[in-house]
Amino acid sequence: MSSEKKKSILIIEDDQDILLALKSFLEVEGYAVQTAENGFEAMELLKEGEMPNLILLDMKMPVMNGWQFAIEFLAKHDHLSPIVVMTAAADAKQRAQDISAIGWVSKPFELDELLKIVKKYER
Amino acid sequence: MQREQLIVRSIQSGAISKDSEWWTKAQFRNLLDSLHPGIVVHGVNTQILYSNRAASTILGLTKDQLAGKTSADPRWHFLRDDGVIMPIEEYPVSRVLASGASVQNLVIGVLRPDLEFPIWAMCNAHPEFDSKHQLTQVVVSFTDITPERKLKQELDAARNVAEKAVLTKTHFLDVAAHELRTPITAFSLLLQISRKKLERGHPIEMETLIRLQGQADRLALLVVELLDVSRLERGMVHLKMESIDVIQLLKQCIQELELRAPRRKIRFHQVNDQIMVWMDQLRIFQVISNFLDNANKYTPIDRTIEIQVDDQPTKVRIMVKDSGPGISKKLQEDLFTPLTRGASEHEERTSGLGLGLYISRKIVELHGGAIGVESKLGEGSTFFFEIPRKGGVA
Repeated sequence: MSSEKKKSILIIEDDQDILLALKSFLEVEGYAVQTAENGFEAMELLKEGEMPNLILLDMKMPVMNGWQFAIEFLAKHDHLSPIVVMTAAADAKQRAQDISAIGWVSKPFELDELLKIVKKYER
Repeated sequence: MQREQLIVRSIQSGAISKDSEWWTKAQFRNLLDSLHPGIVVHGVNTQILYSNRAASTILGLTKDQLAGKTSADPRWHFLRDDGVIMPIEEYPVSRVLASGASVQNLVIGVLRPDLEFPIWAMCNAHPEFDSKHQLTQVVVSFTDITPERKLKQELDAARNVAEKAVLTKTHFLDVAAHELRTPITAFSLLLQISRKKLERGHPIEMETLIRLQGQADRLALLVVELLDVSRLERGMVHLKMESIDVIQLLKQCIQELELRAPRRKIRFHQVNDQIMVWMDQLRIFQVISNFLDNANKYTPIDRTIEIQVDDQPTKVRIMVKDSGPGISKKLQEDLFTPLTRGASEHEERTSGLGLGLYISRKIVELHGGAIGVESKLGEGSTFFFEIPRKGGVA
């Protein structure tokens, strides 16, 4: 149905190239994509507007990292948006559990693999 | 130790003279005095009934001083294995008197009033009973193990250092792997996107190729950084010293940052037109760039980075002031050692190997200069370095 509202995804990632590649890929897949370069920008973005159907969260970022963002987000918005962690750390699963994220994806990853995870967890 | 105990027991009981009458008591006392372990025989009130020569040496008291003393002389302390002062009820003699059982191979430190450091002894204590099974005395023997213990401590310390070094290297490999994965991810995603575009019949854009090049350069830089540390640590970096204008150099560094971060506001407090300093231009450029990059990374985009030069008669001092989150005193201490950033994973904020400031320190030190930071949590940080105007290592 073309009139159906697009699902929205917020990508929080400090690497411009990763951010752009993910944005262009997910937009082609029919998502409305918002981007933020760090947790602080994301929190500002979330002040106004609706909660996204999914948040893709990088962990290592300047100003406000993924861990700090998750704490603030959960305190303010509870589990309103599911969070999927994208990390280059060896213990991606542990990182996700630490911030009670719903899923994780280990960098580097395949776009199709990411899409499966997005579809699985989007609200 | 058992043998000495037996001899003492024999002398005390008189039994031995029946079996081997050609041994006089004096001969036995001589024998005991010639033994390496210290021997002390306590009565039931802990008072000393007998001691041999080695006991005097270890305890720092003559036989006469020892005779009649109790184990509770306040000027002597016994220490536990861990160095804590031993309460009297834990003394071997006290334990034997309380339990009626032997104490074996107990390590005790003897803290004498005449020595700064304790003497360490391996101690055994055994009860003696009369025919009515009444405890009559306690025989304590002890061997000086101070040299062995010192050696063991040195070995332990060396092992700790080595183990820590291995951990640091392992941790470093973890961080390096993590850091290499980020540009690899970007590289891989850009390629995947391009491939999907081609499959849909769209061309690959020039911008994508430029981005790919950028990530390849970033990977190359990470490898250069790794090599840099390796070469600096092995003393393989030699400076190319020239007379260079610091003001011009700073302007170049600022221009470069402006290219990478066009939205960033930078204020350069320029006081002189020209300050000539003897340096390796590329290496000092690297240090200033490192400072500016850090300031840029940690300062919110709407705040300004400030740069100052202090021109002093013998040296020049360059300062980069940010209004980032500031750095705790504890972290400041090891900021210039390798891999201290991200001491806690929850503090991980930024990519990179965490080697930048360490490399900068090495470079500044090669110039005969100094590097440091002034910072308070919540009030930003000022990183500075100073190098001699002329000289240093040519």
